[in-house]
Amino acid sequence: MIGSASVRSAGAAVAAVVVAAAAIAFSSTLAPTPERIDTAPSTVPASHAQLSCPETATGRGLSTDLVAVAPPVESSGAAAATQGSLTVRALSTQTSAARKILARADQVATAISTTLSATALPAVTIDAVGGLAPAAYAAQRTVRAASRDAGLAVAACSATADSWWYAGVDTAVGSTSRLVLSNPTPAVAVVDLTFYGPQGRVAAVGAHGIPVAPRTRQSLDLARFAPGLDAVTVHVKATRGRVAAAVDVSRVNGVTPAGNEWLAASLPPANDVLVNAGDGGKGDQRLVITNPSGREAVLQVRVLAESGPFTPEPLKDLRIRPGRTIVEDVSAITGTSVAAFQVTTDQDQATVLAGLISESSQSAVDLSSTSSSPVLDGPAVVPVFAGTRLSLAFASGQAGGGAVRVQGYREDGEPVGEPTRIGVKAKTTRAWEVRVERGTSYLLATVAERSRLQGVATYRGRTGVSAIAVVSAPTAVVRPAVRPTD
Amino acid sequence: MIVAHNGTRWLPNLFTALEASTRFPDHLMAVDTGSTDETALLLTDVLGPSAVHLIDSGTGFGTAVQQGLDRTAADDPSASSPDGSPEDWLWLLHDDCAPAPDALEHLLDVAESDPGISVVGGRVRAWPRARRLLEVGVTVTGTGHRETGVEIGEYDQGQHDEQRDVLAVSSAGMLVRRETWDRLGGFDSRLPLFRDDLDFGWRVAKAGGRVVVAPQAVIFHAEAATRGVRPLNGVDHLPNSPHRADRQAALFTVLANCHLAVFPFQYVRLALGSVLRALAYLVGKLPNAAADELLAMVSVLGRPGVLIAARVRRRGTSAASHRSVRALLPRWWTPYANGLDSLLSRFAGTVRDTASQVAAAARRRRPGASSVEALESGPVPNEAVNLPSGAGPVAWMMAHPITTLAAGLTVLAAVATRDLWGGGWLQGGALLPAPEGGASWWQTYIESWHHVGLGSREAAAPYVGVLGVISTVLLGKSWLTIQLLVVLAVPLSAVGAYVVARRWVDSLATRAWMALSYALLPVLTGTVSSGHLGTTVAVIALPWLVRVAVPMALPERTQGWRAVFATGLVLALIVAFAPLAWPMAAVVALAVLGMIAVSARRRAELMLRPVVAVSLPALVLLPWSWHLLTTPALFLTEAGRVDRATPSVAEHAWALPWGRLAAAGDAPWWLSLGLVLAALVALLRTDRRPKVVAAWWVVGLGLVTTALLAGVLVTIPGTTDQAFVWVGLPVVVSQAAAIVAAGFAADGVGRVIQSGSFGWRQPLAAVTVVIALVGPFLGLGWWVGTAPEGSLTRAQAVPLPAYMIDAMKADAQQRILVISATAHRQSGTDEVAYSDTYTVYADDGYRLGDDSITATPTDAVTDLVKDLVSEAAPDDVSRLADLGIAYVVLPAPYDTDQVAQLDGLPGLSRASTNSRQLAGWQVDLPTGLVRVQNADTSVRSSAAGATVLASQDGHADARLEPGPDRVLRVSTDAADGFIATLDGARLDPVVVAAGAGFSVGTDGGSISVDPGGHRGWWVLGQGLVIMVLLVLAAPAIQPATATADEEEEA
Repeated sequence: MIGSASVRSAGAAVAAVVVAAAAIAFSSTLAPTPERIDTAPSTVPASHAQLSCPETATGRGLSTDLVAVAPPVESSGAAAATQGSLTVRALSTQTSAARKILARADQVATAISTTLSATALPAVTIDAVGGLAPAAYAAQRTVRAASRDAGLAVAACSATADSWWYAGVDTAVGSTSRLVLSNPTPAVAVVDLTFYGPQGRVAAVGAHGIPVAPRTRQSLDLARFAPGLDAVTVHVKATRGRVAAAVDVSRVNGVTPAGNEWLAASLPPANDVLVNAGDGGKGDQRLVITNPSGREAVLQVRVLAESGPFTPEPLKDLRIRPGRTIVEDVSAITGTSVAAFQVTTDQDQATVLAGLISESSQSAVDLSSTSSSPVLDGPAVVPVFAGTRLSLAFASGQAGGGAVRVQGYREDGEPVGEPTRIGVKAKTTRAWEVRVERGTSYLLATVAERSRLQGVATYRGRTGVSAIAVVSAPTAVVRPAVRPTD
Repeated sequence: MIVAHNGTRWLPNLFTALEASTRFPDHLMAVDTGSTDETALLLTDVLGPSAVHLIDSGTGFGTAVQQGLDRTAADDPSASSPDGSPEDWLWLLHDDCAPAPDALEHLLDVAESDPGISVVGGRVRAWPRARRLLEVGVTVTGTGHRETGVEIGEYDQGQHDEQRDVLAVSSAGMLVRRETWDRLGGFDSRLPLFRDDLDFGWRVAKAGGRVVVAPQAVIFHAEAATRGVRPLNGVDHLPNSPHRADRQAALFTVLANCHLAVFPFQYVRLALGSVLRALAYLVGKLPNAAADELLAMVSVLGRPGVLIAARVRRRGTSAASHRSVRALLPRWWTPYANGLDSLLSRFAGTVRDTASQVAAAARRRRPGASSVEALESGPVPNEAVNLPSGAGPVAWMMAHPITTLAAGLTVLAAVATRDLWGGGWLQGGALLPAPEGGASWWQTYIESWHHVGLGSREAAAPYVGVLGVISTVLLGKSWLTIQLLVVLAVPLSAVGAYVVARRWVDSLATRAWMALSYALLPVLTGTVSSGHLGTTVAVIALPWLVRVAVPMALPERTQGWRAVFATGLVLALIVAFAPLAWPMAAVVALAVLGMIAVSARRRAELMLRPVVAVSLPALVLLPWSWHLLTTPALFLTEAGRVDRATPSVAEHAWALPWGRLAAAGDAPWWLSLGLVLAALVALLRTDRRPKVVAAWWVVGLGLVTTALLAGVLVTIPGTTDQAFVWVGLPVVVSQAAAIVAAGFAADGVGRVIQSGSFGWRQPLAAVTVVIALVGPFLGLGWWVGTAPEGSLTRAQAVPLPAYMIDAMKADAQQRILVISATAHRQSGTDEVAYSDTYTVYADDGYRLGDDSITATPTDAVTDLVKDLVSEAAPDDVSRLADLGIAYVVLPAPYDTDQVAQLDGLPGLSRASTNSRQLAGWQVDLPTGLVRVQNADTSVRSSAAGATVLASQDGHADARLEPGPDRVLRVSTDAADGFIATLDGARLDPVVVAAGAGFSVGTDGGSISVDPGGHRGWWVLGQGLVIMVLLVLAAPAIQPATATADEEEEA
């Protein structure tokens, strides 16, 4: 009996230890995976957009035309609202609701084409709401008809942002460069300016903490901050709020006006930038490259001509020191042919941005500028202004090339004619003079799938030439994943 | 003057004592108050018929003395001075007292030493010749307690030999100046038997006389009436219960003599005090005493006229300053200090037992100690085995092991938690900061609607109520409650563990090792440093659960069922903090049931006990227990929030045997090597194997529970996120069981080893003992040396600017929306996208206790936040206002696009913040918890014209002027149940975009908002249930009886 009791207790002891050990072993096999927290943002059709045009110029010999449109596009994500409006109002300190509507569209694809009057001073804003918000686009054209000071300047109306880059600002004696800051929001914005000149960063007095009152516009003479420089790059950084920025450059050669232009805003600095020169025509062309990074960069500049890419000898192994801006005359390289410049740096940490300033001397002396612009990733509106010829240039900086389909639309939103398809080979640039049919208010350029093209629209008129980037307006907004936490 | 009543039992002793007196009274007289025995005859025999006066039965002591004096004066005028000469002294003697031979001599010596002395009393000792002190002068506390200045059972060793002024002396042997007696009219006739001496002494003091105690004069007193030996039948309308009569006299004495200025206060104090005392008697299962207490209170306090008359009478003889009398009264806190002392004495009763046994053992070894003393000292505990002789500190510490352990560990805990003291609020891991006051816990527990986040109607977990109770004891210091639990976790665990160990383990060293090993579990496992308050409290309470649960197995019915109720209560306490303890206890109960079922002791009642004990928490913790049972996921949580950083058990399964969970601030695993080794080796000791195996099955229970929970996730309350389950409790249980297994085997292991021949067991045991012994001390060193903070820190309770916090607490009861952005690199691209989390702060933010009531916000709030950070529109500001949100805050690092988005949103304006820490915006619309706004305008204009009403925790009362058609809105996600009235008339509810809405109309009036659904009745019922269970669980108070007392003296 004693023996069996002892055996039983030993057995119980072994069993208890085995249970404990088994429990530990079992624990190690159970590793539950918490439900994955979805941090991926979602995309929904934009429900409102506000665009700020830089300036309404009216008066003797001056006229400003506006084209605004909510193009017929398919929004990604959830279904877009079916109703909405596109309204044009003058910028003033009044709330949007209190401001007088200068023009209005209630249908998708219907364009507003109007010449702005004095009631549109000093600038206009375009509010797109509901179904007219996706891809809403607006641009203005200013024509200076005076014989001595003639010029054509087309500028896209922009949504507010906190960072803007402009290359090719000219503050030399005789030239005028104005930075126009528009703040259509009801909150004050504060802006810092940074200048990168040939000798590096410019110690500009008063360039930091510039306030822009709510629903106001402010014009700053950039010569105040960085005088005497014929090619300077300015970075506009909103440290509080957001602004729409634009830079107007008027140049004088000796005592002869050389035209004016709204500089094209550049993409932020990168290792690989592509500047589509557009169909600049005959004239001087200067490539402005800035290295705002902290490292010296050795640049490779390739020209993407219509026939193919090549690296011109003068642009081989360009060195650019940190914070400096260099200017290369590329007139001889491109001649009158269309081309794009692809600038790459030798190291990741060194980033650059580039712009091209063209001084046309074909029909009238005038400036135009292009800059590194975003790759088309959706439908892009190209406004059509009466009395102005339009050419499109698309460059492909990537392998594979691409194609773009262009369709004209009347003001009432009806298509005009048949769409045109333009193919662009890899590493080339292709220009196309658009035959604008009567009544066409705007073109809609839609890139084919997997195409990575950068486009420029060049306008020519009796008074001058101007270029703007062809960009896809946002059709959707990204909504971050949101969840409650403890 | 001898006053006798049925005193044949004691009178012979008195006469013998008087005969032996060194100073005999000049005149000796006696009064018999209608004795039914031979008292009168005995008196007449000894004193002669002329010296004995027979008066009516039922006459009180004072009246009897006065009548005796009057009759003596009438019979023989020479026997005393009729005018009360100052040289005449009156010596009062009870029939149940006996003066020492030199008592009167000493009394007279003192009496004649100063003409200001009016009353002299002796040192009163227990009848008949005991050394136990009863009184050496008396005073009375504000609660009416007779304060004798000596401990219960204190022996007379000459420690009170100093003559001194006192408020009063006992009437047994009182020597009073005749003139004083006559002037004051003797004893108050309303105090026939009890407190008459106190009252008289108080009146003497107020009249300017001195009452002095002469300790050299010893009086032995049987206190026959007090102890119920002599019935009180018919004594001047006295109740039959001596307790009630005494209490009645006590209340009367205090209220008749206290200073007029404190009379109202004393009146209320005594009323409340009587109720509390009655409750205490009920808990002690003395309902008669409780009734006496209440009846005494009613009979005295219910007759203010009698009190006023008594005070008027006393005013006529008052001459001394109040200050001089006050010096003779104890301090106001004395009764409370005594009460606490008494409570602690009961609590530490077991400790005292041990100490006295140790002391007895020490006495036994003292040279010259007789063998009789040694026999009387009884069984000697093992604490005394190695007790050094003498009274040095080591001897003291070994005689008081629990005190030493607790005191030592408290000092070490203070050092080890050095980084957890200072400014800010203790928080981190699972621990939320404590609320600003203990009242908040009460409020959270009692209220049904909580102003936390966007409002909640979740039932608060009962641990919140427990914290409320503790903080109330700590004068509302909520921070101190948490601080003490964190700091004292180790010493408190040690005390409990030692008390339990003493039941089963004889060796002092083994007990100390077990207590220390157990006490370190909360810190070594990282339970404390990861902020797991629930497990910490469970560890502290677990030994007490074992302590009270074991007697359930006793066959004795009363004791067994008392253990059942005590177990149910302690288990309920643990479940309140750590619900997982409930199913674990149920498993243990099932195992016990199974064992009883197969044993010879199978009895239905025995089997019922564990079932009832485990079921009681369901009753005690209602209604939360129902919520718990219907929401099993709650078993996986505990007091405090669910810690997102809780590690995966599976990933750290290797650490489980060592009691490690990879929790923040836990100790290196090898510190527990000795414990595990000892628990394994314990299985080799065959004579203890059943107990050791039983402990090992508990180890298995803990680890199996851990394994089962290893594969489970818990949803973090108030969110949709999940976290691993904290398995601290089962791991601690398994470690505790391992300690018990090792302790069982270690107890007396030396004797076992010595008894056997040398073999492999001896070296193994020696090595195991050494390793096991070193472990706790290394753990202690690690704890004190590294001071592990883990997740705990002291910081601001709400990470927001002070003015925003003020806005939350202000009358408008505004809320703050905090949106935090986290950058994520998109898979397959270099692009960075942000995801956002948000929290809505209200009132004082998220505090400990709010974790159990936080509700998950509705999708509408999440959608609003999405809109704000992606495509904010002006209407979003109105939506914010509808939720009572006054500020939107983005802590750094933030998405600059989102900041710019909000910068540009009409209706939001930048708030003053430190932009390096956070960006903030103020909602420009009037907002708050309760608003009244126009009913028939656009959303925005209506919101802009809203009037915010002052509110507090969902309640609002305001005056409303007549106006346009309006709507009252309460901004909350938990809108059901709200009631609004206008001039008392219920307002019709209307559907609003968010929260509760009521149609106010155009009329004005007094508007009132009530969240409805109060839990007050539930809590009251819960309190009653706990009270009843406490009464059932508490041991009965054992009133001292005369027989027992006398036997003791014999």
